[in-house]
Amino acid sequence: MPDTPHDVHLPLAEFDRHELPEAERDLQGEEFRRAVEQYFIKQLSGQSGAAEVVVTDERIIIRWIDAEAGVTLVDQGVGLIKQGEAGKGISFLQKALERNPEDASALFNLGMALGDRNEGQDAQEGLKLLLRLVAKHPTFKGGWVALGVAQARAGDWENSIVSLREAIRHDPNDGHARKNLGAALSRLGQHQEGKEHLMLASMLLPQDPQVWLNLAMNLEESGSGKESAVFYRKVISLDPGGRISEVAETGLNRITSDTFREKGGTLRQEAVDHCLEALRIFKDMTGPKLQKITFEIAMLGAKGLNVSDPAERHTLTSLPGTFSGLKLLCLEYVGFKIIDPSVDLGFDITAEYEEALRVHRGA
Amino acid sequence: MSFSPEVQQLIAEVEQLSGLPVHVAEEPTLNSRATASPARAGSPANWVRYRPGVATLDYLVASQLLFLIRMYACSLEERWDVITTEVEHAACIKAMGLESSPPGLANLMVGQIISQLRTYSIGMRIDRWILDHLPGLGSQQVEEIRSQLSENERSLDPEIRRKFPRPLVNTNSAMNAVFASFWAKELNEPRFNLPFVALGYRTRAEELAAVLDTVPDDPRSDRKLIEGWAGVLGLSDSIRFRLHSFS
Repeated sequence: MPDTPHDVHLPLAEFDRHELPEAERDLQGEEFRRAVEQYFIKQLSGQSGAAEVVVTDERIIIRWIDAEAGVTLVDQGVGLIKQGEAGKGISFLQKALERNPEDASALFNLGMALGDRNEGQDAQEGLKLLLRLVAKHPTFKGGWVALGVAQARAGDWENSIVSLREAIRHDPNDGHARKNLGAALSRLGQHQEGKEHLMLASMLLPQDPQVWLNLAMNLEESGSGKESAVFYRKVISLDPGGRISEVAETGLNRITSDTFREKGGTLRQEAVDHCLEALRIFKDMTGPKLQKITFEIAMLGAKGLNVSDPAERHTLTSLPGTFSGLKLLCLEYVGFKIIDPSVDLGFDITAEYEEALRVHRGA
Repeated sequence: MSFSPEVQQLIAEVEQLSGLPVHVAEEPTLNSRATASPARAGSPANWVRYRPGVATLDYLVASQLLFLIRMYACSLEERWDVITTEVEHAACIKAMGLESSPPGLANLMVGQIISQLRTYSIGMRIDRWILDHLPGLGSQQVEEIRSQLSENERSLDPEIRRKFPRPLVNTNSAMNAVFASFWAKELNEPRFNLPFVALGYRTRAEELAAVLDTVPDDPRSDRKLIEGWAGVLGLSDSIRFRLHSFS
């Protein structure tokens, strides 16, 4: 990619207004600047390479990047976007589209890129391009999926489902279509059909953490908490430390908490006992030692702790002994209450902790 | 320095037409990338000088040799030098709005604008000829021209334009505009022409191009070509033609 743009700076005050359409020749201020910008964009379209045009109070700045021989504008645009240069990449894609308004690849990539910007006007423009894409090229690979995703982002779940069903009609083995259709159906409460698509998606895209997350959420919403916990853990193993994992961890904590409550009514005595023991362990402990134990449990807990099975044991490097999942959770809870009470573990044992604290203070 | 066969052939042609040798030499202090000086009194050889380190040397030397060939292709009575006496110099200072500029700067600017008048008008004939007859130098030619076009674009920068009198800026830009227009068509890249059009040089560039189109492409008409451009640019009183002489 020849990333050797060169800038041309021109004085705005000397712009020849005769070059503008007659109706725009007397414009002033921002309107004039916009007209000049549009003039250059129009004039520069259809040429090899791509330009960014900026018009300031004093200057017209044209940044030109030559097209590389043999590499299409679309390829260059996509390459730039992958390198994190979204603005430049979009500029290349726009040029490609100006050159050929029916270029399927340009419509697809520009539609997606604008949608990814997550800004109202751009998202709307992206959606329009994707609608144009499927109207002109209904069999373009990925077109219906991209449209379905864009519609879902815009909150138009019904049309999203229609588009994604169309994608599956063209290619029943399109894992991305099934993944997104499953999520959209779940969103509208059609969990059973959603689950079927997500199960198929998990076979087509077994390494995609988003598939497993969608499936876990579907199952959680359907009341299959235990099953969903397995898939939340799968997400965490596929995307350790990632953004999707964070969602999975929250889901896992939610299920753990629900399971915990379902089993023990209003106050779980074993949790009170574990909290009490934790208070005793931490009573004379120094800050760094306490932090070390708490953070070690937090790291372990990120993958999910099973609070229902006391036979499942864990060890820590920072504290001798073996511990059940529930005991570790109580140690972590008490530890954070001492270090930083504002931390939300997503697992509520406040009542048990308060009871343990009352006993501990009275002892 | 070993030159391409095209350049060697052009050197032989200059030597044959002039009856005098051609010396091609590096000149680190040169302001431009290359120049040519025909033989004259006290210098019984034709010289082509170039700035060291240029990647497009064959093209640059070839184009300078073609300036010499165009002159020697004319009979002795049709070989003209473009000069400025005190009278033309004063007229040029006035025409270019340089009256209040420091004398050193004004003299430099006069020299440059007259040189541009001669080299751009004849130079465009030469570039056309190289395009048509020396395809082996095509890639160097395009590289050099692109570099020149970029340099000319930079001269449109508001800061630069503010530093010099408006008539001088407009004369320089008009010649750059016709150059850009010619190459925008040849390279099929209209963007080179766009900045000049946007700044209002379309008409002036078209007038200069019309002179190029109407004056015959024949070395004997080169004086007429320069006169035509000088007329469009308001420089008619700023130049004088003197017969080239060895004495």
